[in-house]
Amino acid sequence: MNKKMIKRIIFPLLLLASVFANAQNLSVRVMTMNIREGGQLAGYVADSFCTCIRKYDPDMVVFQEMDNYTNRNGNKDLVSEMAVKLGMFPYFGRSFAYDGGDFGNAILSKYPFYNAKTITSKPSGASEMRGCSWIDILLPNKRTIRVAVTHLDVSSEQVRVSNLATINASIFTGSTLPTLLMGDFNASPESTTIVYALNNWQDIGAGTGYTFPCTNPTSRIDYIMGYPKTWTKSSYQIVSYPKLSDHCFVVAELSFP
Amino acid sequence: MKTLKNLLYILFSACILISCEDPNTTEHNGYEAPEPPATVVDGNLLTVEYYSRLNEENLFQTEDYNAIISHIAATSKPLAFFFDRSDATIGQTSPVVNMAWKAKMKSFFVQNETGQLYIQGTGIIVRPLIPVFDGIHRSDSLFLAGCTLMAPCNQPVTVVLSTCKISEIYQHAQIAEALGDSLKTNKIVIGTIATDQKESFKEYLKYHMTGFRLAFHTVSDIEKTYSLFILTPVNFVSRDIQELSIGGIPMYQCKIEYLN
Repeated sequence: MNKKMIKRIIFPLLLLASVFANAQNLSVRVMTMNIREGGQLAGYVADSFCTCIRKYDPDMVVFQEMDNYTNRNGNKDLVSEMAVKLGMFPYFGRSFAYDGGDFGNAILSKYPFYNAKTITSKPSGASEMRGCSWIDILLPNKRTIRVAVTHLDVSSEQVRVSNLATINASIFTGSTLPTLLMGDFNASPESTTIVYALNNWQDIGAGTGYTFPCTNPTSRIDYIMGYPKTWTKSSYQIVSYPKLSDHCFVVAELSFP
Repeated sequence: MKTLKNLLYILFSACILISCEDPNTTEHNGYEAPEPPATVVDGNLLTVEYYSRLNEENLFQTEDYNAIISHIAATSKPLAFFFDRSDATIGQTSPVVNMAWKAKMKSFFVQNETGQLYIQGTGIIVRPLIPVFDGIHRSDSLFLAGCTLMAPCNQPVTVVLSTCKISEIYQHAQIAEALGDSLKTNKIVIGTIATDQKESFKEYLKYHMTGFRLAFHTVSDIEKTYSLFILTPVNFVSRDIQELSIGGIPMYQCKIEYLN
């Protein structure tokens, strides 16, 4: 085999290898936790949640019902404390002022985020203001992902659909990023809310088990939704920690082509 | 007849030459911001503290930031605190997250690069909750991000306090392109630039952006290879940069005036 032949074979192979190297799948391990009333069951102790999170070593964790410097949590910034203890980056999104501080959703990310936003909405008939927060992350393999968290209103299907419509209108504006929307949707899979959600989102955990209540769960209301609808899961666990929450937590390993 | 022909030829050539002129290259002398008012209105001054060694060293050698925590927790004047090269190691406590938590504030991190384990970047610490942390990146070579804040001027003004690091010439065009018209929405960029690129950056912006003011602060020290830059919309002006030190860490206190 002469040098020219070797070059003809080796060069395309190298080129192909570099193309594959640059087109790595986006793979993340994520976790969603409704921590009930700011972590009341765990005594608002960050270490209790950190022990649980460390066990699964997620790249991103999203929280619902997070308190920020409230009287009831002892005037703590729980998500920042967890970030310090876990070596992650925190983002708190306020839904409304509560008990001398704030109440809302939060995100922890193993990697820094370059963009973050919180939106709120209170449609007619809603019990309270609800929020959706998201962060955009450039992962070490140079793929970009948007990770979002929400906690939809408990009052009615109509209000939840309205909450979701507001989220969709904001989260997709000017963005084509692969996105995960996680959290407590306060709706079962066959509900109008989830049927509406599926117009845009992929229910990545479809067919998996119940998430609420934490002990002997009877309904599925905590979700991981993906956009566009080409996410795949290599694992999807529903885990129960009755000393931490009345909801099960969801941990999933997901990929996007 | 011959003279008339020559005259017509000259006129025709002149017409062609004039019509072929590129208005961008011949008539555009570059943008110059108007002189700011001579009098400073103290009530319209925003204070920002920028911590930097102005070189390629990590800002914190160890957890040597207790003095800074005490300082930022005790001072209410600065709108934001920036920490150039407060680098992060994935999976380990970020100094800026730790400082913010201990000072009861919120932290953000603007990376300068992507990395598997170690990421260079600038931390931002602010007092209020931030609904919008507005960032952009161009591939993995330029990151520019900042917080939307209400500045307590004589009349409250919404500003976006952003940062980025300029180490390479090609970033000049990326910054101009990334900023576009966003300076008009009160976006202020405070960052560091390799000192030998100050002039080329100034020249680039002069011919590729309008409605801005650019100020530099250079320290005469051979080890300080970077300078501070403050890029503001034309309705803001950098009035003063004071060199201070908190717990042995160099800090530049920047005063920026909002011009009504």
